[in-house]
Amino acid sequence: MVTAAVAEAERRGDDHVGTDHLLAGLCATSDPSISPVGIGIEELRTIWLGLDRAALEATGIPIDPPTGMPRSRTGHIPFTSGAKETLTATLRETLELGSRKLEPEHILIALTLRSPRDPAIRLLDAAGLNPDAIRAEVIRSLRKTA
Amino acid sequence: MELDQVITTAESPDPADGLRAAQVLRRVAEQIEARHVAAARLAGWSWQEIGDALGVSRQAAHKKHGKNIV
Repeated sequence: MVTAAVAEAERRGDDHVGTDHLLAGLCATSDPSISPVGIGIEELRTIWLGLDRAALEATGIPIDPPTGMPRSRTGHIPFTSGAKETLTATLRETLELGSRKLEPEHILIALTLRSPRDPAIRLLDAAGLNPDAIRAEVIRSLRKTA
Repeated sequence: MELDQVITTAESPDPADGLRAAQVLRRVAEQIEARHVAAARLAGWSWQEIGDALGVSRQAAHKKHGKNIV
């Protein structure tokens, strides 16, 4: 799933792996019909590009954002501080919930706990999804299977 | 729109938009660079000439693009 997040950064030509890429990694590796996020990767990509386009427009540069071309720099793509924090929080959530295994759902819980300015939260907002509702749903489903 | 107008506009809206736009524009610049370095190599430009045009050393230009472009 983290591999999918890195792949998403490469695909978009981004020079970093952020919390939004972690969210995309989750969407890319889970079935939207059963995932609490409920949207597939293609839909998320469209919403994401919409955010990019709106940001360019708001700053007076009405061009189409690049839709993804391999980046020229190959090799390691660094994680943002937020993405690292999220992965640390994932471990904490896993322990707190008493889960035996670290599942993608735990990353999702950690993502929903980010601040309103976080890129992943912005992306969820743009998709019309409520982070608190998602977290409640994930915790419920984890309790059921535990 | 004039550039200083763009930059001022970039300061006035939600910072989330301004910051995101800056990030997207870096992606745009990277892609323009990659495309045109490839075109320059095809047109017979040396890595030295490309580096000079990009304002970086020959080694830096080659290190960044040499893996994807001959």
